[in-house]
Amino acid sequence: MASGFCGFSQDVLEEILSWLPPESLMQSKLVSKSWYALISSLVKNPIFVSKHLHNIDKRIFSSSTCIVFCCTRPGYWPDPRMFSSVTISNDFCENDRLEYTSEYFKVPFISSGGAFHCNGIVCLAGYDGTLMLCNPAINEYRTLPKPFLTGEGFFLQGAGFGYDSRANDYKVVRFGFFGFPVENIEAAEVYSLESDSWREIEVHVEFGGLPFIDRGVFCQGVFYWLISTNDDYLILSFDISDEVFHSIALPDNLPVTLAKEIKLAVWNESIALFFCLGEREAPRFIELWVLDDRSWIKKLTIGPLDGIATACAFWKNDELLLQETVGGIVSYNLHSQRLRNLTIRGVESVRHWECLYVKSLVSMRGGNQARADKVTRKSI
Amino acid sequence: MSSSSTTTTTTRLLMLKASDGVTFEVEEAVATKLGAINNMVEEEGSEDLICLPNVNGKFLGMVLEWCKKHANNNTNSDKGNDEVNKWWDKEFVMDLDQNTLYHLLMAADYLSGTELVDLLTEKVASMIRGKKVEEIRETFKIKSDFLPGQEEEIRKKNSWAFE
Repeated sequence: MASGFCGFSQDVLEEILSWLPPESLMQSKLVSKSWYALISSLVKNPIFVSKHLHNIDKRIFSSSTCIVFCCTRPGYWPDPRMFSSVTISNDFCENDRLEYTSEYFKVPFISSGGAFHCNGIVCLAGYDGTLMLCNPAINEYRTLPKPFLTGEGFFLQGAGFGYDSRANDYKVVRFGFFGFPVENIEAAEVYSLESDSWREIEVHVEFGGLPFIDRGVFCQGVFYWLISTNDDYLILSFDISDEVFHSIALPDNLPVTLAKEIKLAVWNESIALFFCLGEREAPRFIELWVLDDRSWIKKLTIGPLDGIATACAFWKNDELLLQETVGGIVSYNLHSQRLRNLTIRGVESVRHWECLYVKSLVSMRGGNQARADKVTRKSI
Repeated sequence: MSSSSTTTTTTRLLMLKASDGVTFEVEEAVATKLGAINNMVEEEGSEDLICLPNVNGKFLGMVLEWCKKHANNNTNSDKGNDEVNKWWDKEFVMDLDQNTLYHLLMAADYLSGTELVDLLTEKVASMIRGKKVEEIRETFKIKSDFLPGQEEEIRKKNSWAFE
């Protein structure tokens, strides 16, 4: 066993290295020549990369959750927006205090179409159809080929990025319509990282009326988007492996009057729906519904909560992010019902939450992969 | 450390013998959590004394203590097992000195105790993460064998990782 280290075999050393976050791993290359050679080859080894990714969830020491927000900061013009991240340590969760650090989240641009995250890869989308995948933890960026569905006359309604475990491939899906009048989604396309190309796919979903679609969530290989049509609300789903769209009804008789009262989330690996009741200035109640084998179950009601504008997402199964009316973020514990403040330094207000993020070694292999040591930030 | 379990009469007991002659009597269900022992039992049966020449009594005892605790936790309560195991695992490795940690890891690796190897390698990794290169070398008694200038060159090439 070549890389002798305290008498450990190379297998054991590999196991040890598979628990290190990417930045620690890169720095450890400098320990010695044999470490340099071993780590350089491991980060290119798909089996190691996959083991490293799975170990992130299994960690019991220094485990943490990273949440990315889109924020505005004072004094920056014309574009005051930035991505900021909050990393919450899970080691002290029993305590009253929430141990966390906040920092600027380095990506090449702030996308207009929102950021999607999967296994350490962030997908950024621009107004003009530009799409980029990046893995900030290993400093890798990749601009995707131009999609088919762009240009004047095409209106993008929704998009998503996720991992297809059946095909072992990362995919982007985009859909929308051409011009008015419109009654449905008229076109959709899928990008596969493996083939590095786009292809159009069939859509057969009837809505009746112009659908407004919010940012989706990805859960167990399926995307879900909330849709409000002229007189109804429903959920559009897309299976990343089968590449088929379906529509799902909301809970029966849910008295929704405004689209912003409802929001999708992932909870305990199930798809969940927040329903926020109450006037903006009054204490609010938040109902949590879970989709269980095609039927909705109301799991709990949270509240009354003062000064809360909306629910954002779960960052743990019992910790929920809430957006305050004044632009801050708080974490709410389902068991203790305690609210804990998350202050993000250098930020004026939080516009919305973007995604939960993990630092992985997953590479956007093949194709027109481009590595850049310094990528200039710009807004497109 | 020797152990005996007389809770049920149906449980089969295995006799394990460490390199220094120390013997352990362990429930089969507990000991077969270790891949190496499981293989030996499948191949040679469980009647004879199982000799483990590459692990001494101290570390074999610690590995078996871990196996027993996990076997108990997993049968006692069906809910919140993960949390109990995690809490107990943390306690188990909390105060281990470096020397014990290494020998225990080698014993666990030799006995193919995958979950215990996970726990111990993660513990070793926690001694590396966030540390400076010089600190890592010191902790693990490794001498740099880079030529003068080589280290600086790598640092420059990967400057984004060293910010």
